Amino acid sequence: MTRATRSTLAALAVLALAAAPAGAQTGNQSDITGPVITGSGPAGGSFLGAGLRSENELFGRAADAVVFRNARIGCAVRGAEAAYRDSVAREPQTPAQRRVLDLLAVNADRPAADPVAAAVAAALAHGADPGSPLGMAARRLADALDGLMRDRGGCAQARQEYTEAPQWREAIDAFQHYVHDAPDSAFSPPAPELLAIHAALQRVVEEALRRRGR
Amino acid sequence: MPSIRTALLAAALPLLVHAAAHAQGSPPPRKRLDVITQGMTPAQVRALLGEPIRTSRDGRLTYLYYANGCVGCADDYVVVRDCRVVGARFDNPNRYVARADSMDATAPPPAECALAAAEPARPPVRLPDPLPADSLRHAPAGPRDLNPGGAPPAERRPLVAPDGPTAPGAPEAPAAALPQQDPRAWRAQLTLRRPVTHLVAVPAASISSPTAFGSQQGEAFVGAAYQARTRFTHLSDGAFVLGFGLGDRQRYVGLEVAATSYSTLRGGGPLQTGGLSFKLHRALSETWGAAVGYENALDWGGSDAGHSPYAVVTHIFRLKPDATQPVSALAATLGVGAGRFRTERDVVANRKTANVFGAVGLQVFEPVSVTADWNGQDLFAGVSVAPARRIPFVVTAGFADITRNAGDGPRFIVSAALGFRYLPPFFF
Repeated sequence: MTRATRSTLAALAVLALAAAPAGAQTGNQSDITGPVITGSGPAGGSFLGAGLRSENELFGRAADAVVFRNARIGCAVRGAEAAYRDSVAREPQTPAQRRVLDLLAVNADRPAADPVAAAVAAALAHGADPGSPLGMAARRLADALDGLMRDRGGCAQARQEYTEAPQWREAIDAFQHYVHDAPDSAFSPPAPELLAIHAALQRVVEEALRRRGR
Repeated sequence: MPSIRTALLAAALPLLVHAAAHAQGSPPPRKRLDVITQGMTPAQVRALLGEPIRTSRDGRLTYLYYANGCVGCADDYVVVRDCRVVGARFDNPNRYVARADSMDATAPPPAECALAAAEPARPPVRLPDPLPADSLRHAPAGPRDLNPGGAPPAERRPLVAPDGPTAPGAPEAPAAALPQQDPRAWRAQLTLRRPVTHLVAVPAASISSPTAFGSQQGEAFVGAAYQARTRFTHLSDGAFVLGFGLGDRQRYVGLEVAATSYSTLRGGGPLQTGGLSFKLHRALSETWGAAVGYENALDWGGSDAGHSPYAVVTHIFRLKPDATQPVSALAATLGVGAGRFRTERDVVANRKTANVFGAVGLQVFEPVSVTADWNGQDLFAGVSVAPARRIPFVVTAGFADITRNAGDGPRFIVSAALGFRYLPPFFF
């Protein structure tokens, strides 16, 4: 037990002795004359709105806009993207991976985006009508991935300068939405493109979170 | 006869000279541009570009391929979905694709949807045609967009392969068949595990006055309060609280229920004296909230807190867009209430009046705030600290009655509270 711990315990003991029971008082003199704890106010949170607040590891909000939680996160994401582009440049790619990496603008010789996005969306839709929930979820995901990992240069000073943050948030949300809400038929088995998307997003996000701590 | 031949030659000579001059000095006739527009039917494409050299399908997409004369390039292609052109990629500089502002949603006649009647055989000298994916992979960046009759794009891939070596592409890998397994297993495997969301600790914005924000479904809190001495005494006192929320403050309304144990240090012990308080609260926006409440609506053990109905609004002024920056927010609370919110004079005279209360909290740093709080009787001032960013534990310390409006002078006070979720995940 350290000296500081012993001192703290001694102080608490003195405090307990000082709080010995006393006779009751007349109204308005004791129960509401200190910090009033008839609600969650003492637990804080008012500066961010009501009740408990949560914070995402990557994202935050600046006014009404989605931004990275801080500039360091934005820099880590760009660094992770660059590392990923370099790593896959020499890796063998299946046709599905190529389509996805073309859509993400990871591949250097990226063709026109529209046909690639249409091809990826069609693969994710598993033949469903474009207006169906699965078709729309597939299209949303394909659109969110368009150019997501293109080379945007180095790091910026302020988190608002990382304008790709909303697209990253949308890409992750669209992917999660697809995985959680697509019918079982979309996983019997899933489109190879979906696995390629998962691998790309997961790898960059993990690497970004790892770099954040550097 | 010679005279006739001479006359004919003399007559033809000017025409030959004129033809030669025209052939050397005038520009060649302009080539026709083939413009494929989104929404065209396959029949319209074939009428414009001719029969495709081959077709292929990928899901609901159909690709019509056309030779373009570009050495080392993939063929030009038009992408058709549901009998309508949705895109194309051309290396032939005389072919363009135009984006349509709105596509015709009506189904074309079946005859319009016919693709090439027969797929022409590939020339034997050509390399095997790449798969559509390969053509996407190796295709150069074609016309980025689309100009129905306008100027051609500034950059075009040359139709002749450059002399130097071409940049090597990524090696190809065969596509492996995916195993059949339970869709639930696939969902679990494919769910992104990160980034995760954590609870975040934020300091308090009031000390004695209730704010318009509160707990909702899934949220709960425990806390303790201590005052070094109560009014007109030298005896300390303490209290504890356990509360939880119900409802949805943004879509409907939230209900906060709190059970407070008063006089816990110097009275009969925990829960011997206490009260049950309620607050209905609604988030009007990200920065506005409104609430009505009833403190100690039910009480027991002879508490001197009294019953205190109130109504209150709170507004958050965002001073900076980034909450991690210093001096980023100010929370202002204004309310009216009876019971403990009355002036001391009205309390002593037992007059059933109402009074105004309010609090102002300034978030000096992300985990630290300073607060001034007028609860209708006396002024509180203090500092609130959330020491651990990911744990909603908040300590607030300060002084009560610093203006001596009620009681016998300033008194040291402190409170500590922890927020948590009572429904899983407890920390997310």
